[in-house]
Amino acid sequence: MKAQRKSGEHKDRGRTKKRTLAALPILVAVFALLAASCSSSSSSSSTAKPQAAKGGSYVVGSTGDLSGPAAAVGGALRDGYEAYFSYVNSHGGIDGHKVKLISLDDASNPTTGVANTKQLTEIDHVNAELVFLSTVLVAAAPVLESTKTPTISQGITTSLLQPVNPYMFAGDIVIGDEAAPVVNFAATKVTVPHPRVAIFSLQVADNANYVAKAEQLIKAKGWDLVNYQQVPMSATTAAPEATAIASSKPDLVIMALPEPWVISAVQSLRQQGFKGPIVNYDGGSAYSTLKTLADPNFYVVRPFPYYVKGQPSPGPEFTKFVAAAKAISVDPNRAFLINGYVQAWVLGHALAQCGYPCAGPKLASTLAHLHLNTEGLTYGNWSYSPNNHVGIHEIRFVHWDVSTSEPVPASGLLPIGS
Amino acid sequence: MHLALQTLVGQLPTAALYALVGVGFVIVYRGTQVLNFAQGLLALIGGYFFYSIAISEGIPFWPALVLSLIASALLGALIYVLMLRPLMGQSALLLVMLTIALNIVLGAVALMLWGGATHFVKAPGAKVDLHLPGQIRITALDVAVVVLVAILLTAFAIMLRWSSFGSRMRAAAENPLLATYRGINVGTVSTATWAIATVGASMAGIIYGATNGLAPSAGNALGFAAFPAVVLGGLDSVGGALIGAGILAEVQGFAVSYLGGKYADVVGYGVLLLVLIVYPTGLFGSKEIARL
Repeated sequence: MKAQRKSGEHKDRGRTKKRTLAALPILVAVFALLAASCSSSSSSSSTAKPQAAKGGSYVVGSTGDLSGPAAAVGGALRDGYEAYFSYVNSHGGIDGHKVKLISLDDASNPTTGVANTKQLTEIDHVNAELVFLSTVLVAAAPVLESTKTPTISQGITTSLLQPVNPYMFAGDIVIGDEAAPVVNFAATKVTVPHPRVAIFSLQVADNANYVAKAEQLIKAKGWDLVNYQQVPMSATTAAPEATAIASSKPDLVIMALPEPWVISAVQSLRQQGFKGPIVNYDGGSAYSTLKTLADPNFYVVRPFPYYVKGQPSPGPEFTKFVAAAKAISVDPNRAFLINGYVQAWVLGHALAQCGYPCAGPKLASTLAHLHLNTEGLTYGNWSYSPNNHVGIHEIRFVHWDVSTSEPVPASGLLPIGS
Repeated sequence: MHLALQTLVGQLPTAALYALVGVGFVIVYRGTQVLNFAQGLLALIGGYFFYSIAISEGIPFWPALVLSLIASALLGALIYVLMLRPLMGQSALLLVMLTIALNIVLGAVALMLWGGATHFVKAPGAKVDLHLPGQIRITALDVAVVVLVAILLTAFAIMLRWSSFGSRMRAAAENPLLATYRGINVGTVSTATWAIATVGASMAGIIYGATNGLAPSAGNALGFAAFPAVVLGGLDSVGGALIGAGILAEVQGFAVSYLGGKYADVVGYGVLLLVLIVYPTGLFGSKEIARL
């Protein structure tokens, strides 16, 4: 009996040991996950320790997708913020006041974005917030308004700009505003008086306004809209949609496709024999996209210049941007890096004009009257007004020059939104 | 007529890509009874391996391909030995949860190591257009991919059905204890299974990198696109994975061509649902498979 009990205990211990061993891989996975998430949030922590403002520092918060489906863009924006604030801090700060950047990850989840915003505004008491996604911004807007926190956003929607919200500012072109310059520029690239036009867009809510405006303009010009394709976000390639468009024999393709779909879309259109102009919005205008496609008849909207090694800098602020990007070991041509840098740069100049300390309403008022000569950082200058919280008013079209193997302007400065 | 033919031919490379990722699901399931939801991320990381070796290190295409596939095989083997093997015999749900956690971890690691930018790999034939009869256009790379996948999947099917390794793999999956009594080294067989599946996924990742570019979101896009194809064909059938991939890609392609891109998923997954109502284990899946 005793021997049986001993044997039973031995078996129990054996089972326990086996269970412990069995749990080890799960622990390894959990620790790896924790390590990964710690690492992703600490990568910005040289300037981004989650602390409240003290000792005369400004505090800027950001929420963006650093680990979810849009992490490619969110990470680039975050690096852009970090590049600017690191540069500023290493040059003495804003009028002697350092800037603390607190970057939080919302993984494209609006609920997490709202929680991040509450932490940033109610616990960290940030002076301003930088928000990436429109879905997160729409959900977090009531918190930002109630805490009077001025916000600059990459993905701001028309509903937050019209009527003007005193605390919401656009950090880039509003997608819908790109339709007019795209269609007007495309008109200069077609050789027939009444071209057959196809629209090729990603199936997301933000693009709906762009497509609707483009359709109106196409109709107004008396052009023939022969095909309209939407690529679902879940698609691994845009090739089938490109086949459908090519089969409708268009003379012109107007596009609103970001990376990575833009690559397979353009390649498939060309492969199917479409030789006409393709004009895309700025969401799919990365340097790497133009270089990969090397297609001189593919044009993109650009508010920002590219970095071309060996070429003269477009201006002193662009030179600083390149230095700041290199200082944090990031390629200056990384897609959306300059967008994040410019948003931080605009905010930095607003904080300088606001002075120290700078309360939310005063900063919002400063932003609403901000006029900046960007000195090469953007193609046009940057100005907000009390009635218009979009800072970019001019863009260029750019395409790939096969003779120099670099992107070059295909147009002069053109107004947007008209 | 031209649109139908172009869609039919043009969707074959997509079908091949689905099949290549999907066959990894099948091999791992047949060999270890694990539903591996990290398959898409393994494809992505295989593509990144190739990118690092060929583009960053400047090693020519073919040696880089071999090196990256070796690295992928090692990764697959390591994942099994370090994470899955100690849990063998545990509930299917636990193993599925583990592969979901692995998927998240691999995604975070890929983001840390290769960043969020889209990386492109260069493959021979990617820019060589072929003009087939009926004004069908396709690239030489697309043709190579379809032929390669057909050969690979045939080889996999032959290996699983008729080779000694295939028999040992099936035996190890169906009854590990009995297989051990029969002198089969279950650990070695399962490790090799994971290595082979990861190599297949990596080839898909490299092809995807050449045609669409590698970005962190591509891993889940590939995995989630290929998994329904496998479910359609049958979780334990290599031939089923191929046919399921073909059906899904062609149905999606024709939906795009004749109804519009926004109907691709609706029609594609609608067909999947209908097939599963009639054949709950997929078109060619074994009847005894338990659904989760």
